[in-house]
Amino acid sequence: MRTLFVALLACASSQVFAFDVNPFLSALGQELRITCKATDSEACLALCGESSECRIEEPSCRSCAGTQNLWMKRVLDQVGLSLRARGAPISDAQFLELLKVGSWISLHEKSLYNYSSVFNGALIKEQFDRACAEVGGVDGILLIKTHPVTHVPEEIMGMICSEALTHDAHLYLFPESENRLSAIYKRRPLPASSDRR
Amino acid sequence: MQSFRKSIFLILMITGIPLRSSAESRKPLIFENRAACALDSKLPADSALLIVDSYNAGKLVDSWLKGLEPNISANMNTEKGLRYFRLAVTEMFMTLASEILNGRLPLISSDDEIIKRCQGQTPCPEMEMKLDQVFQAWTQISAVPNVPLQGASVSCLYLRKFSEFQAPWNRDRPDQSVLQKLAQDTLNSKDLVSECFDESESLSSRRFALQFDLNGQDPRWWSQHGFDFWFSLKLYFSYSWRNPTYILGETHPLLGLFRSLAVEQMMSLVSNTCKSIEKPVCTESQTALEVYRLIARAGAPADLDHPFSRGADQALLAQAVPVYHEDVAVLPEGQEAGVWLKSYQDQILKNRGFLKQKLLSAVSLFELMKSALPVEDLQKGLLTLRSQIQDHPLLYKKMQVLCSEDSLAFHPLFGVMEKKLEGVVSDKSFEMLFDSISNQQLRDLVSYGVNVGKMIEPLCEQIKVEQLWAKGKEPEAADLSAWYRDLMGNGDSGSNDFFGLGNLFNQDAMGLPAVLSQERSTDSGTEKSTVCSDVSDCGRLILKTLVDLNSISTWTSALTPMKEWIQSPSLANPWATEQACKLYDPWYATHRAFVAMVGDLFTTTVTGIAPIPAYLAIDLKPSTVTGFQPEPLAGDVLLHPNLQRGGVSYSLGIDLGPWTGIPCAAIVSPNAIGANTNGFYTLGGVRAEACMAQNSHRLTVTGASDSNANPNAQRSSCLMCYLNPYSTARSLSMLGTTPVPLLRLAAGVVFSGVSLIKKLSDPVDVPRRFTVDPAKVAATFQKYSFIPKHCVRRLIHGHSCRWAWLTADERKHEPVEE
Repeated sequence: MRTLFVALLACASSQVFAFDVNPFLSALGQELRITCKATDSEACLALCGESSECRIEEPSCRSCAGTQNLWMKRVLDQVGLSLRARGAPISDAQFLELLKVGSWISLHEKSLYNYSSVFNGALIKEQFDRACAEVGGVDGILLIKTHPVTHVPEEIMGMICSEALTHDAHLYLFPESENRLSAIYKRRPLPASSDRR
Repeated sequence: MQSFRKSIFLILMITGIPLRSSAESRKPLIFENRAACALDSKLPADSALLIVDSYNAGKLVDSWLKGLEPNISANMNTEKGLRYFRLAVTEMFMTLASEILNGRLPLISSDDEIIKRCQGQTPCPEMEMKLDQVFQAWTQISAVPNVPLQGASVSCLYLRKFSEFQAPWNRDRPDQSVLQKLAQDTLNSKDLVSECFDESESLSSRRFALQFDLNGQDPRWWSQHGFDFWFSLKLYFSYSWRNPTYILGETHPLLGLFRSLAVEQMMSLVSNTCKSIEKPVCTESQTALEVYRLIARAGAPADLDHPFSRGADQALLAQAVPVYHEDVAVLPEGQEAGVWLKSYQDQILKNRGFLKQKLLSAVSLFELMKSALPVEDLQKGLLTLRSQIQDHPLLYKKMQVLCSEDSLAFHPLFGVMEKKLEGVVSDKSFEMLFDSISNQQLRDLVSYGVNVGKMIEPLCEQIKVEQLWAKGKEPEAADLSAWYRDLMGNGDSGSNDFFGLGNLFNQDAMGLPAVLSQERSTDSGTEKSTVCSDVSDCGRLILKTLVDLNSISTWTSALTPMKEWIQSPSLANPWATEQACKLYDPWYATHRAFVAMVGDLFTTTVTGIAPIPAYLAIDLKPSTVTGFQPEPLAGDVLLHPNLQRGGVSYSLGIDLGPWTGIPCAAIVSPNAIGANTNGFYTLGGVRAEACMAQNSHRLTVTGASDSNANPNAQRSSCLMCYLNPYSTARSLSMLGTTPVPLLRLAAGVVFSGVSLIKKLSDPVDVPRRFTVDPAKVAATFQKYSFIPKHCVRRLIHGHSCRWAWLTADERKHEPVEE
């Protein structure tokens, strides 16, 4: 999976797109909505075949909804502290590729998996804003990689931050080698599963 | 709501699967005493309660509704969402249970090879793959035979109130008043229970208890496969919950939300009788599960409340084996089920929360300290402080406290921590939990803490050698950590003091900036908080964190399990774990009675033949457990009890009175501390009463039910001679008359029998069961408008009482017309 992911990133072009990313709660659960500007409709076309907006339904997150999930609690506690967007974002094309092929869920102020503080409350809002402050962004969204079959959250991928004025979204990865805290929050991988379904 | 249910019900009806959800019939209730209840713990339960706390589902639905786009009409509210959750849980359990009983879903044993390979790890991809195959096959119903297994079916009730139907949880022998209430409850069961699938809003879905009863199964088949049934049911439930379309269909409105719930931690499936859902095995996780019953018994002190954990096995050893069910009474009859559930679940929540806080705090601290304060840096800092303790009185006190605590933890001779921490790092379930929240190795963090502790110890010894401490001046108790005070038995060490580091912790002794600080989130941004003010504080914090890790690892397997597995603590049977760990032997009193009878018969034979009254008293001593030997096994730790064998003690006595005229008896007890007269005087038949009076202040006879007695292993012999005026009188009479051996023999045999019956009538430790059929009790009640005393004996043995001899008082009652 990791090899495939790296290969995709390497192949991705360095084209610049402009699009918003916003979290929503749909009838089925969490989803991310990618809204492309009229001039950049090819980004959405590439992502989902629609020209203006893509809705990406998130898969379930195994045992994430509950007060007992200590990993999720720890991650949420660290948003805005050790978990902050830093450095340069990855290219928009890479970002789109990652959204398209990866198995992930999002954490944000309206996340269903927040059992640590009040839903959409002042504390969590402040945390996710602070998470993007260093790169001059707002409305942080944390992306967490999940196991494609078991849906167990496995690793923090990065922080999506929106530019304050244009709302253009960018993804700041937490590479293991550069960010000590992403290493802390990386869980050990599960035993490899054979092909199923 | 109806649509997804209808689909599954249609299938079940067409295929003739017996799925019952009604209060129409009640299984007979079994009341058991301690010994019987302990014995039955080895058998699979045929009735279970599912206790559910739906808070997480409620919060999920509530958050979802708040965040839902305004233009989406969910036609939903939180209460409705909770009801959907309750019905989805019910649906899953009932369908899966029925499908297992019908042979469409195969029984999976806990000894299954894949289960063993998974070693308790969930999710386990290999197991998931197997379950995929099982459920895909299940969807092709026609391909699987519809052959009910042994005619078994399952029924379900929603409990509104606890009643006499749960009385066996609290009592061993039902009396007249219990039967009376049971009859009333049977006749008014609508107030107590509801249909499981009742969608009415008046039923609580926030907290609820469902009762599942197995009916019609072949007892032999059930005793062989009952545990596999419950195991399979739990396994299938966990799988189906995350793949809900198999049971709930595609149309369930909250399907996408519910599947992300950590559903197993919201419920427990407990036996409704003395029998078990999971076979009791003496393991660390089983002993830790005992905490749930202690929690259910409001206010009971548990090791969990102690800052320094002695371990679940030690807690088990320390507690006396409860005598009656009341000792652990959990279900208050007549109370709304929700009231008890609230207090029980709140207690669990409180304890879990406390444990989680401790764990997260310990992990963060260790990660932070290990990276920010290497052992060498701490050592340098402490050496600097040592050179300044004479100049700073506060620093002096702080160092003294550090040295006292470190010495108790890591002194080479009497330090308590090192061995405990070896247990912590070898605890697989704790390691799994630790791995889930940190990518640091548990072993590395613990080893960092141990190195710090061992580094401080010689430094403190050096201070002692240099005589820097003022003589006779010990640290104040209030300055010491709670764990230290707890371990030294110095009271006031309750868990309310979360940090529990005493008065001096983080007091600035030198006017320097804090050695270690960290950022914390607040509503308005972040703030810096001091982790430790100087290195002595850091050292104490590390020691305290090690103590916490030990305490957390003891209880996490029970309270914050990593496994996606519905827990089954033995709430209704306080002796299941005691029996599994050999702390209680339900056959002891019975064996002891028969062994004593052998002695009685021997004595009878001797005294019957010879005119010399000699006796042999044999007593069986109980084995005692002195500790446990741990052995890691498949993600758990098996505890092998260190048994001190009880063996047999005997006393040989000769009453010299009849023979010599001297009022004296000689008793030899080669392996008992005191002479055992077990039955001697009473065996004397006509002489019994007089001699018993003499006996009362001379010898202590251990009661047959006194298996709590912990006899000293010390052995001694004794030869006793004591005055027995009655013996003299008897001797004179005996010497002057012709003995009648046959009569003595007969009297002796009769007495032996009476003595045996008396011992076997022990109400606590000789297995005893009473079966009460609620329908028969209700019928009796309807006939007389009360339960006559005369009927009690018949009813508690499962019989009807068609005719009763009424007492004068009872005759005053007006019979109810039929």
